Amino acid sequence: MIRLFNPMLDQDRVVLLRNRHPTRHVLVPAWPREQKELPQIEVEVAWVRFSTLNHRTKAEQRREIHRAGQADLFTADPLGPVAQEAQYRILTSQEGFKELKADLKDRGQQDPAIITAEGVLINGNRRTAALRSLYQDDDWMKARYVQCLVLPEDAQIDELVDLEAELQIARDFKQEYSWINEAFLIEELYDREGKDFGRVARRMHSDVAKVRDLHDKLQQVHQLVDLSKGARLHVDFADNESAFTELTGHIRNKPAAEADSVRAAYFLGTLANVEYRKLRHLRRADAAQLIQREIERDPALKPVLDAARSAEAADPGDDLLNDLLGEDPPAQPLNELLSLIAARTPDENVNLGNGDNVSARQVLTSLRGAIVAAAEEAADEAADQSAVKAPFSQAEKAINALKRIGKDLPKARAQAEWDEHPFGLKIAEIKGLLNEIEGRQA
Amino acid sequence: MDYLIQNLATDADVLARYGLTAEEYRDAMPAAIEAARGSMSASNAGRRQFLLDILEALLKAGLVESVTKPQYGDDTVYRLTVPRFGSVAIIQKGCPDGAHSSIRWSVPDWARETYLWWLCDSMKAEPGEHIAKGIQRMRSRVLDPADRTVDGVIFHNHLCGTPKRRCPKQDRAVQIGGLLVPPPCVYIMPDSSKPNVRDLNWAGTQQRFFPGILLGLFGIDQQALPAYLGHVGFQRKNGEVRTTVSARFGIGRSTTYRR
Repeated sequence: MIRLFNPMLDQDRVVLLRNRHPTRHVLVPAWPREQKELPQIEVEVAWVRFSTLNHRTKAEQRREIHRAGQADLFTADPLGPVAQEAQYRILTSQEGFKELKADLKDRGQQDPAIITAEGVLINGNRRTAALRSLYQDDDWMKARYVQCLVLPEDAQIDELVDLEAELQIARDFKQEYSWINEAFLIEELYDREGKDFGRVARRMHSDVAKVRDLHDKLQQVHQLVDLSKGARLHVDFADNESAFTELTGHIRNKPAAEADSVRAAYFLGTLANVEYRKLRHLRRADAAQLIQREIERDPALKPVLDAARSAEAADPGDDLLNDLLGEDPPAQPLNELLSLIAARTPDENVNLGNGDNVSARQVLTSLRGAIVAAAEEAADEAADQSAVKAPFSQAEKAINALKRIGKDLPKARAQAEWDEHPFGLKIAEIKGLLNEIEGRQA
Repeated sequence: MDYLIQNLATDADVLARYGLTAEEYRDAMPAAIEAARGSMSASNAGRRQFLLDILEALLKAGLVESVTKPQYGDDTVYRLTVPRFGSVAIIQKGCPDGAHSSIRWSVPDWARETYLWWLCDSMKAEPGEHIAKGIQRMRSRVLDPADRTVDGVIFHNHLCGTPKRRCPKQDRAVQIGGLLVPPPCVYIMPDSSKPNVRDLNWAGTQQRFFPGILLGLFGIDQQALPAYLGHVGFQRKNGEVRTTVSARFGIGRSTTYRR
């Protein structure tokens, strides 16, 4: 069980809230209990505590943990100053925070936040952070208090997660949620709901396909993050949703070898910042081979590929891909390069084995060129194949249309207004076109 | 432009803003034009000097035996004698996307290899864009099997490696003519003498001799050379011609452009 806060409630804080005089009572349909009216009070914006279990910040929390090198940064003392400060920092740095502050300054707090009986925010973390920033940083006195609805003292953790799912996913807050964070919430609910996507979808007020899609995409991101051995974090891929959507959609029912090949191409392409519309052309069984061919024939990039192979040969037991891709993975040509590149931040160097170093950022830029070139080759080839098939598919359509004419004709001829002459002209036109196609003179 | 210069003399208000009377303007104008012409001419001479300095450096380093500058029509063509190889022609040009720079040149009969050297100080675009435009313009000449074409193109001038035009090869820069000069961007062109061939240096397999000599001046040896040599290739396919331009700046650093 994940602990949101100390099960022994901080009685001083509970008493303080209990003694605040409610300004009104508000109906909260999302609160799973029968009694849905909660008291609304106002408290000082610096007094409330942020929830470190806020799913909207899961990916960013992993980044903070990584930076601090402290695995229990948000769990050792979630209400303590270190965790709270880190959480506040995350909330204030998220996209749209400036706009949220401007909106609060313009219109004031429209919806009350929701807090536990000891003042931990279950909903309204961002709004409260924005108000706190307005009060502390911008000296806007009106932001000194935050309006809050207070939950009962016996609220349980499951009830709180359900409430968050209802409020933050089902409502129009959704656009504030990055897809990675939404996927983290789905993953948690999936584990909690007996790995039943139907139940998760109902909780999220969504459909099974969408929930499963987000879950599957997150599994791919997990693989890439694991492969990077700490050099990359989930939050780094928040802008790559389309690439992961297309990757997941393509490999779902593909043979393992094709899935591995396309995955390697997408992973390397995503690291190299290749646009997903380009990567789309590499959804084919030989995707990894196409990229490898481009790299091999580039004398500037080939030494990097050679270094990756040497590193792999020297340390065969350290291949995370082997673990990720199954017991006996097919040898994908890009695996070594992917292992080498993923495990370096752009600011690090890649050692070429002979003592030479080259910046990972430069290698990624060069790889981007090679991958785009491979994708363009693939697109060109696909266009050629499509051009070859086009006359056949058009002929098939024409055959079916002619068959339909034969079927419809007796009924048409039975009509009084039927005129055989213009129809005869149409038939002559068809014959003329057939002659033209066959290269005969009319 | 003439109209503007002549009529400025009648615009007393504008001249007053520069502290001039109409009379002073008329008196000073010829000298001012001469001075401007002189400075522009000097900057053009500076551009030429850059190339001459590099050719001199090749000579001093013993990488070439002689450098001569005969005239061939409108072209400025340098004749280099390379030991154990023969004559190499360098055709000096301006920016690659100018018609004169890309199309109007002729390969001397005496040259075993010929290169277009683009001394381009236009800052309108990144060098890569200038080069890509130049290659597109000269495509018809390269693809004509009856036309004797250049073996490579070189983009390099006095701005390369300065803050105006930072160079990814700066770590290989050497002192030439008072400047710290990075290695030039050299692109090997296809051998298009065989008609109807599908791939013309598409994969960059064409080999040339002189680029190794030129880049040798910058301490780039034969082993490292491929990582510094770009190539231009064409592919004839289904009635169309595709172009590839690969630039290389050392190990792990390259870009590929195709259209």
